[in-house]
Amino acid sequence: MSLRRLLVANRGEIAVRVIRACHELGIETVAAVSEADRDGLPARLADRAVCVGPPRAAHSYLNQNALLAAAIGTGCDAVHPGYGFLSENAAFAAACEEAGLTFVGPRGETVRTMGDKLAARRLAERHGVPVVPGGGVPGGAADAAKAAERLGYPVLLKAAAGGGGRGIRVVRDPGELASAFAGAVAEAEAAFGDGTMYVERYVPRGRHLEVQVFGDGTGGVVHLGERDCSAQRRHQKIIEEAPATGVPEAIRTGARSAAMRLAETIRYRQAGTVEFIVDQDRGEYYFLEMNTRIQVEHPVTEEITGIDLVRLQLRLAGGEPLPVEQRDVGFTGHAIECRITAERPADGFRPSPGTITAWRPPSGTGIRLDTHCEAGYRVPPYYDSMLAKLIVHGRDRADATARTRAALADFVIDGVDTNLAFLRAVLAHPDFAADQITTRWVDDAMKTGRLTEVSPAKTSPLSPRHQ
Amino acid sequence: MDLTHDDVRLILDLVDEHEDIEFLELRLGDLHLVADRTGTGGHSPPAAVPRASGPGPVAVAEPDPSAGSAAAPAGAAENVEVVTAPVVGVFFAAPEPGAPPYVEVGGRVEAEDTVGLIEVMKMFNGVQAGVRGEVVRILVANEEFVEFGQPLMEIRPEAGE
Repeated sequence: MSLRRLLVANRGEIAVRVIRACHELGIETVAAVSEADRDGLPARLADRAVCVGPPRAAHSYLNQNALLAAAIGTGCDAVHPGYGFLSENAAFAAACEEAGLTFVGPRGETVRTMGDKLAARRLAERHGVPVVPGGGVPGGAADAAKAAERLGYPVLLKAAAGGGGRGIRVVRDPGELASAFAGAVAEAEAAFGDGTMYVERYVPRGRHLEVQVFGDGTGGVVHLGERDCSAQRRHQKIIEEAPATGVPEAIRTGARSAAMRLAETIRYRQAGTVEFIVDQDRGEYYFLEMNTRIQVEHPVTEEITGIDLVRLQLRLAGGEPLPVEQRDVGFTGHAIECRITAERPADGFRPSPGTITAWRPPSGTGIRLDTHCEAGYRVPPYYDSMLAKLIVHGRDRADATARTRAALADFVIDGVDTNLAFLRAVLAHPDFAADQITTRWVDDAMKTGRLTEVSPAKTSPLSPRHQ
Repeated sequence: MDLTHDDVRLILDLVDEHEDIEFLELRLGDLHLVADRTGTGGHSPPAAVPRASGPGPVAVAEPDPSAGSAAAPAGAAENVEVVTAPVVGVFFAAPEPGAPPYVEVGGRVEAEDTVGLIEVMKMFNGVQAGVRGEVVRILVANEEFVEFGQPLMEIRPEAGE
């Protein structure tokens, strides 16, 4: 049975993305919107919009009962959670299924297992997937100190319930440990209601490598290649690429089969991403975590494989067998995604809500923009500050980089502050061109002043239309 | 055993005083009381339904105090207060099937009177009039699905005694 009507339990660009994919497949859509998003693009594109609560996410996009009532009240048979919000909430996944709604994601139990980062680590270890040396610290700070002595400083403290860069601390020497531990526990308790920590050896020159998988729920799994998301600011991804050309082929092959093994073992259902850190100095890769949802950066995989990941999710949710076989998956060219946010980089990346007065995105061959924004749109202060994802596909990495630089140079957004000049600076840096970005690169470059923001006039020798 | 209205109010007040209580479910014989602060808009006091005998819910709920005037739509007649839905769900005009509705057009209500219920995943939230006056228009049908903030009825305010 294919899906008939689906509730989009999210907002912003991913809501737009899901609604469009549904309409292509003939699935009706109901957009669940907060009071702040009543006039937004998702509300206008969907067949129907239902206001589920006031602006604050806790009362709307995180309000499970309101979303379930909206889905049932409008006769939906499925719910797409997007990313963030309730996408990795095991209780919500289970509640949807109990209410007779197809949750477009893995089973609740899978979400729960992978949501506990420490449990996921143990699972990976049991199945021969390499993990960063380290482990749980049931005895608290004292255990963490012992583990750190054994592993050697610096170490990384991480929250078992973690995500989004919260509850993470780098500890460089024993003197820092106690206060860093207390700080990380407090942060984790505030953010996730769970202060359980674990310790890992810190990988100083790491690259973030992740493998996109799809499972049919019975053990059938395909992978759609890897992405490199090393360009991060404070553990938050900024630029993502596919394929991961900066990582040796042997490591990429190893990570792919490790990801497949893990997904097969847990009979993974739907789209998932297995994340690894690659230790450049040791030439090794380690499992970090598995994300049980569609990811922000999924478009770079779509661009190089030609496979629509959201459509694939919807077809699987409708009961079709995996429509892709591994031998059908090929890779063409190179894709780069930039996350464009309403933030002031000069001011510690402070969010900059307000009304967009001018919106002139770039266009041309290989340029894709996933967004919910337009001129006149009021960026609300209640949610994350992402405005758009610029995805550029080129023949190879050099071509994709050049096109991305040109596209960023052409992009005009007025009315709110954005990170466009910052992104231009990263793309213009020789280290980026040399494929030498590690997970620490952006933070280090900012500290040492190696990144200077670039105004559009300075980097506009080429427009994408002329290439 | 039977709980009186005052007993339920006492329980609700206790729950309300203790911010760390997010959810309370009480079963006493065939009485079923649920108080939940998580799923109904958060800032309102917990909603509750003591389910005595019979199939229908009986509301003793404390609705969102701001619901009465929060979102009066443009174009609504002047000197009329619009009662809006404090949550998304299914509107019930009466406490139980077959029972007379809480209010009818022309009827008078006190500010704290319950004028309907909204069911959200088996939880019944009372909707309060919010203002003393005369019901001049009812905008939704019994068992109709309503959105958060949707106008439910209009009340022409009357001065208190």
